[in-house]
Parts: sequence; C-alpha cells; structure tokens
Amino acid sequence: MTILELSKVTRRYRQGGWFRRSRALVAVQEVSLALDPGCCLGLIGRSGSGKSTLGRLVLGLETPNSGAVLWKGRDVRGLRGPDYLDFRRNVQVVFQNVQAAVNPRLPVWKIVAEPVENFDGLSGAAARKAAVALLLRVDLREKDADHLPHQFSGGMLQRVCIARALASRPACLVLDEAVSSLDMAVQAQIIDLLDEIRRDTGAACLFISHDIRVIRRACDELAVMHQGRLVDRLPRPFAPGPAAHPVLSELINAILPAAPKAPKL
Amino acid sequence: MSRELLCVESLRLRAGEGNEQRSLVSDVSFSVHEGRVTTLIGSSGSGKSLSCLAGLGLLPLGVRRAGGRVTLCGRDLDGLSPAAHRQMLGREAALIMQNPMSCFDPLHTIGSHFQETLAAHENGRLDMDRCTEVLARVGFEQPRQMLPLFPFEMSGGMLQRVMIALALLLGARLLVADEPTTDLDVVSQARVLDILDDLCREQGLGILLVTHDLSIVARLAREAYVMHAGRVVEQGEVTAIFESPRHHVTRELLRAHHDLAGFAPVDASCGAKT
Repeated sequence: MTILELSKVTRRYRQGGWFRRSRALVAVQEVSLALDPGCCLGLIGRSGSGKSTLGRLVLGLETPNSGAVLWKGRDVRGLRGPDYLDFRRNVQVVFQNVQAAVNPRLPVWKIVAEPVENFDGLSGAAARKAAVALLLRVDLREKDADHLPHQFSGGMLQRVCIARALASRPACLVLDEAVSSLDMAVQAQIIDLLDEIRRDTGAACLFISHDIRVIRRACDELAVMHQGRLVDRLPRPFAPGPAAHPVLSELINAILPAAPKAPKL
Repeated sequence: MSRELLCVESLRLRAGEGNEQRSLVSDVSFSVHEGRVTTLIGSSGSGKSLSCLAGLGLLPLGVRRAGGRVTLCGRDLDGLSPAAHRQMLGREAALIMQNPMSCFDPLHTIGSHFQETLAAHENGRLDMDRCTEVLARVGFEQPRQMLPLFPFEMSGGMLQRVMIALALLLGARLLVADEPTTDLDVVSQARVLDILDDLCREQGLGILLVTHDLSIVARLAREAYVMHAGRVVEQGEVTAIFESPRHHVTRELLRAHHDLAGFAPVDASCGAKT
C-alpha cells in the first residue's frame, strides 16, 4: 500500500524583479510518484533540476501550487489536529549540511530527544534514555551524548541527524543529499546504516542525490529529474536502455574513473 | 626536471597556548612542480587543508607554524616581508576554494570582482581584454557576457570556473585547490576537472589539490601524499598507490573507494553488478 503519493504536483517560485517584473520559475512541474513502505526510491538529477524542492514538497515544507501531496490517500493541506501530527511524525528528513541542521548549543542527546519529547511526551531522564538508545542505534557511543555538535566530525554528526530522524519512528524518510558532503569511507558506512534501518523499520525512503554511484548502492528504483520534470524511471539494476533520457547518460558519463589510466609516456 | 613551485619541509603546526597546546600537523613534507598535479589525500580532519594553507602562508588565526620551512616559488616564506608576501599571492600562487556559492560578494558583478583583484595588485583599471582572455581559458564561450552578471545568476559550476579565472588573472603559476569540486554536481565536476587538467597539461601550471575523493585523484593527479592524523603516511606516484598501497590507511581508503566507486563509466556496463 502506498503511504505517500504526489499527484501532478507543480511548484512555482517568483524570481527577481519588483512588482510585476518578476518571472515565474517552475521548480517542479506535474510530478507524480508514490512511495511504498520498505522501498527506497532514488531521485537523481543535476543541481537545479528540482530534486530538493520535490523533497521539501514531500515533507510538507512547501505547498504545491497545483496538484496534491497525499498522505495515506488524504491531501496534506487538509490534515488538521491529530491527523496532521500523524503526518509530521511519520515523515522525517536528513539534510546534506549537517552543521547547519543542528542547534550548535545543545548537547547531542538533547538534539535527538527533541522529537521524543514532542511526539512521545517523555521528558527528563526518560527522554535522555530514549535518546541514548537512538545514538547507540546509529553506532555512536553513550559518552558522546553530552558532547556539543562542534566536537563531532561530519560523519558522526550525520549519524546524530539520522538518530533524530528516527526518533519518531517515521514511516517515510527523505534523505536530501544526505551523504554528498562526507568522505568516501563515511559515505559507504552511512548508506549501509540507512539500508539496515530501512530493513528493520520498513520505512519508505526518498533518496536524493546527484551521484549515481550512491543511488546504485542504496536504492531499489531510480527516478531522473530534469528541469522540474520527472523524465525517466529505471528499476534495478539501473541499466539504461537506448531510450534512456540524455540527462541520465550525461550523469553516468560524468562519473570519474575508479582507478588511474596507464601513465602517459 | 620541471621547476619546483612549492616546497614544504618537515612542517609542524600547533594550536593553542601553554598547556593547552595541540599538535595538528607534524613532520609533513611535500613539493609541487610545474606541469603536474600533486594531491594531498586523507579523510576529514587529517590536516590536509591546513598543510596546504601553510604552504601559502595563510594559516587561520590561532594556528601557527612551530617548525619547518616553506619555499614558495623559490623564496623562503620566513624571509619575506608581509608586503612582499602579499605581492606573491595572486601573482605567483593563487587559491581556489571549496564553496563557490559563498565566496563571491552577492552585491557585486563578476566584472567588479575582476576589478577588485586588479586593484589589489595593479592600477585597478578593468582591462577587458585580459578578463575575457582568462574567462575564455576556463571554457566560457562568450566571456564578455559574463562580466555584468551577478553571482546568483550563475550556477555553482560556472562560479567555480570564474574563481579559477580570477586565480589565473595575474598569471599565477601555482594553483592551490582545496576540495574544488565537492559542492558541484557530477557533470559540473567533470567540466571543472577537465579545465584543471588542461591548465596543467597544456599551460604547465602546477596544481596542489586537496581532496578526499580518490576518483578525482585517479582522474587528475600524478603524485599523491596520503595523510592521516597530521602526518604523511605514504607518498608516491598515483598509479603505484592505486596498484600497491603500502600503508594500512591507504588500503582502507582504497577499499572504501572501490566499494562505492567500482562503477565503470560506460553506458553498456552500467548495472552489470547489482
């Protein structure tokens, strides 16, 4: 059963100029897609293709100009009270810029405990205990709990952000370039961790990236975005046929060689 | 033997005062030659960025050089007056940074960025021909039309190329590039790397590249220094390092790299391995 669905969603922005001189920039145009439990959909495209806007639409951080985001079959804009809380609780996000995604003055257990306090109503020692359990889940240590964000490396901080996203036991995770700024070894670790979590919890994932190597490793299905539109979809093993969209081949051809060529003499 | 542009010998960097002192980099030596790309590889926090900043004499506040010698284009940094040092930066050596989106002043056009650079070193007259020439060298087909644009009107890849053009404006022979493509998407990244390759191969510039992405090293570099916890643990030709890494840190980096990047960049073989 589909838990979250986009139906012909369009999002426009006004760009530049005052009064009537502004132009409309169509960031996402008539995109339809569905997220199923336990399935990881990779969203790939060049920068500026509308991937992140689509992610924000799924999260409810943006409202579509036309079309609708459906949560369990109901339009998110119409959700009120406990229904909205249910949506908020179940759709969580991990951003790319981890340093900017956490409060620099809170120890990490408090960062992770925030959703626990908000959604589960725990407080004090109980909240801390839940937060520490989550930190252990993402392979951090108990003694890390009292550290401040600046004492962590990017990879560890990304684990904190994942722990926070997991705190409310979401049914859907949006990972917006969640590994792009990390170094290679850490990228692989984080992807494996996300994979494990997905298998444990059965959460649906929307994995946004511009790097097909990462998508190939993490996802079950691939969707290609170009200039705001969804132009191609590929199931595993992501072998683009002759009819594949040129953007996909461009993205694949831009992948750098894994090893140096023989030295030129 | 090509000319040596930068030579760093047994560099030691420390931060803090008195009992709070920490050693950040110890006993690091490397050199950069004309016409070659030299890379510093390592995971985050291994001291690669600091070492390359020390090479230019641009250490951040609170970090100081506790030992070692830096020779930039044949002149010892210790013997240089601040004014002479400043004159060398830009003319002899230039820095390309990681985040093109935030390096430019959003209120000024690309043209006035060029003017600012010229004013800092020369008479400050905006010499159109020179600006368009360097912009053409970094692959802009209509360089004159770039000058009146504001930074927010350009993409990250274009801005990174403008940053390279600014670095070339005063004729620097040494480019220090600190993670130049980390913020770009794969297509722009390939473009920027092609340009760096051309500059090095055809125009004989020396490039010191800092990166954690071994694909970039494989694409561009000839020599590599692998850093770990503030020390160089392995150095040598890139091909040798990829084929027979000696130190366990290098082997670990390569394992992680092949784990994720073992992906042939050819359409036909895409998805050969699931």
